[in-house]
Amino acid sequence: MEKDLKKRYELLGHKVVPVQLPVVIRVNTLNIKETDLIARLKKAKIQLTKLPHLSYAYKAKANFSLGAIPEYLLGYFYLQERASQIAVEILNPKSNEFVLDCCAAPGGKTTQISQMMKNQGVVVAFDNKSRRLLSLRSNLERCNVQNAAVFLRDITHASNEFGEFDKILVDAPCSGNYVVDDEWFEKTDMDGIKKNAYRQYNIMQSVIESFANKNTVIVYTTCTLEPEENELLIQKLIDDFDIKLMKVDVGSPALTNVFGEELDKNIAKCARFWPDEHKTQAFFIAKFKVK
Amino acid sequence: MLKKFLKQFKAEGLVNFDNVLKIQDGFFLKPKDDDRARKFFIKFASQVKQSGLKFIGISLGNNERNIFAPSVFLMEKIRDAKVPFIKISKKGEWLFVCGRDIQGSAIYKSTVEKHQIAIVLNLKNEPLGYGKLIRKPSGLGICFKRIYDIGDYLRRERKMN
Repeated sequence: MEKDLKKRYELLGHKVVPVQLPVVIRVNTLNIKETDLIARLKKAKIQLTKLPHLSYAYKAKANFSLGAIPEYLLGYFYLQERASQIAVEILNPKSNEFVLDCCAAPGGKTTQISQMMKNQGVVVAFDNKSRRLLSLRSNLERCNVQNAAVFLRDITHASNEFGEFDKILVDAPCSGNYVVDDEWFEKTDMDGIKKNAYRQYNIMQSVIESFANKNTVIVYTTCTLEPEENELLIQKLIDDFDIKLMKVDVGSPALTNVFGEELDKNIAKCARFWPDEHKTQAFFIAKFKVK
Repeated sequence: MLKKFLKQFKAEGLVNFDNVLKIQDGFFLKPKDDDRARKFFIKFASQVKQSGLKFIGISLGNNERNIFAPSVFLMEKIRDAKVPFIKISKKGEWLFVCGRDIQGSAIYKSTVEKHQIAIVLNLKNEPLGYGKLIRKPSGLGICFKRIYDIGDYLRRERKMN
């Protein structure tokens, strides 16, 4: 199975390469001015390099754990991988909007959404696992998020008593990728990938039918390379619902030919991050509206 | 628990309890600046159980094994109300956020009397937690007993994983 999965990437024109992910922080401007934090961290002998295309991201190098220092505990920054930060920047939530974060725990993206909204408007956050909500709650408190409401809910069974959302982020539960898990190839098989794709479709169906209107901007992300959970899922959404894809100007264009199957050309508007090409973990981003 | 916590600092007036919602062990304050967020808070405050609401508005802290764990937001409010405090050195700060009690030598400034509860600040005046002065600060002996520190965020996270 391991060889089969690796071979799939070769068929798509990519190799499995080891990628050492850098530690990346996002300055939490809800709690501190960016310049003040950078000066403090540099004084503490932390090497920082500002990352392009992101508003508050820095690559950080230190010979101690950044997750244990007072600046972290006071909520002045969040440890959040680059590709994951890009997803929220693509969503681009604004002050006073009404935003839904469907699979929110542990809260990296939720806290980033609130930051971009300057704590104005409302972020509704769902997660269906009680234990993961503790972590979400803790991160929201630490980061001084004041405009969020968190609900223990499974989006596929949730009714919408909230009203019309301006923006929706679906950071879908997915098969993950080999960059962040050394045993990924041993643990993953096609059955699992298909199960995840089935669940992702159900999530998107619920989002489109119950939570979105024609003005709602929806961003769908996964951290997997598997086409079944990315391009092939988007193709199903195009076939079953009237969605209009919007261009995502980062990473590489998504695939429009998957193992010989020709897909809608508009799927190239979605973005893929390949570990061998972009030196991030695997990531997929689609942005669309329902017509 | 929140009231009792504030009472220890003689700071009950800091929070309007009409605007506080209790959800399980947590206490949440209605946002006051944003109209949409405030209306949302009011709507769901009356249906906590049936809606599955777990967090809303401004977190003031929560009860953890009979100890009140205040949010940084609330500790900043308490600090600004000029309650008794101790200010500790950089080394003391590192030890305190690791859950340690405080030695006399780490205390840079103190306005607290023996057996009194005080907020703990670092040299930048940022709140790190709170505790109780158990003896007059001097030398390497422990003089300030930790009750809560912000390192708890990390310890909670580790327990969850």
